[in-house]
Amino acid sequence: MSTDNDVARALRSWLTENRHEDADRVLDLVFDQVPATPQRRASWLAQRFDEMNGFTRFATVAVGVLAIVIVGLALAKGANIGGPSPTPVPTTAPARLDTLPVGDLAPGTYEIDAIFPVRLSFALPAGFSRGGGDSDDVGIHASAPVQHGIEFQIASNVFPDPCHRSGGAASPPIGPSVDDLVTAMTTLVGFEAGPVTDVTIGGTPAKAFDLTNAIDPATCDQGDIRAFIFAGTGAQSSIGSGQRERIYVMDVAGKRLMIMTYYFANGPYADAAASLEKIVESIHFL
Amino acid sequence: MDTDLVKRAQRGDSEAFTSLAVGLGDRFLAVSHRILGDISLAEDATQQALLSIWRDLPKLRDPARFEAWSYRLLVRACYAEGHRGRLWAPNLRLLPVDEPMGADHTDSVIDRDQLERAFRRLTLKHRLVLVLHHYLDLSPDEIADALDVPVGTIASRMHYALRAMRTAIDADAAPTPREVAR
Repeated sequence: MSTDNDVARALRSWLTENRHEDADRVLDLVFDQVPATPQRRASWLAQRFDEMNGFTRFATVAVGVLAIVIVGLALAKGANIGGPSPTPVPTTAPARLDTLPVGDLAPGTYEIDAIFPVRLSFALPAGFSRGGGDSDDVGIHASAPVQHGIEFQIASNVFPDPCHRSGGAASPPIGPSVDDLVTAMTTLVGFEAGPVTDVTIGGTPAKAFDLTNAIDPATCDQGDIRAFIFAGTGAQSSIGSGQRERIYVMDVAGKRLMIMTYYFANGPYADAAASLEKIVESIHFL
Repeated sequence: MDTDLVKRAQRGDSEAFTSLAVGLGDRFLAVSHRILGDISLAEDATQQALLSIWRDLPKLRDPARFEAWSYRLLVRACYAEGHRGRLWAPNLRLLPVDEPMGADHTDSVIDRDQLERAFRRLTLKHRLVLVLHHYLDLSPDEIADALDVPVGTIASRMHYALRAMRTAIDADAAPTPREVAR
């Protein structure tokens, strides 16, 4: 029987052993990409002001204020500036998510196409990054720290007891229908499921429900919580302790799609649920 | 960290950024390798983090906080790569074998392989705090700053991470295990 101190001591020794990592190859790749990677400015004005003298700075602010006053007065009087207001239209086509690298995403409309069996698009606000993506699972998460996000998934089976998986996956495997998956997910051992409601996403009927757990992963037989198994890769999905999920399951052209939004209700992102819900509301199937 | 270099890199001086990146590269790769357990994913995370540093440096308000800020970007890249790695990880699990137990499984000597297996079973969040604390020697306050979470959360994660490792090591030591690929 070991103690926490034994483990900490052994861990420190193991972590600090020399493994001869050499970043030269990575650095070469980075330096090759720097010339083609524009820097993001925090603020155009702030950046420019560093290089302006006092008079120029004053003049720039004065012109800006004057312009705002003129436009404001015109709007207040109901003036028709430059003819009728055009209806806002997207200036660009949705960005293909599978062509983008893992990392930060600009706000806008994104399309999931070749990497996933269900084609769909959704609107993303600022502050999200692309996670991994393959034929079973495409993830978008908050940029930092990763405490909430949305996943598009194709699941084939579940672990009825996600904390004690030595019992194995459901056998026989769950059936192929939306109801089969909903029933399996709402009866997971150690999870509390909210009522299942009928909703519509992108014009497609779906079942929606909340899942929560208060499982301490340290009590699990493999040290973590994994609820379901992906259809193609056979990989298993991890779920965090105290994580709250809002899950939507639907049939889209014969594919059983699961959309999972997740966040930590007691964490610093309690208001993340509303932001994630807006992303779900913006989904269109293509 | 030379704040003058940071300021020059913020203004788009690529030579200054090169100096910063060379100073960070090996350390970033070592940290991400330990967190992710896979050198290819670690290289991708390091590359992503260094490019993010270049791209977002102008947004850093206080150059003196460059180091903590850079760790935050590395952590973010590790999360992204860790998620990708999870999907591609081989599906292995430990199965007990019906063999007589060894003479003594109660001593506190921890085998290196057991340690590695237990560490790999931890969640990414738990691996992160352990590497930042035990490898980089960051204090819980510094880790909280890098991860942008309350310091109490870090203390809790460190506690549960060590406990999970201990549980896994003890469980691993009890029956003789063998790894079975499914």
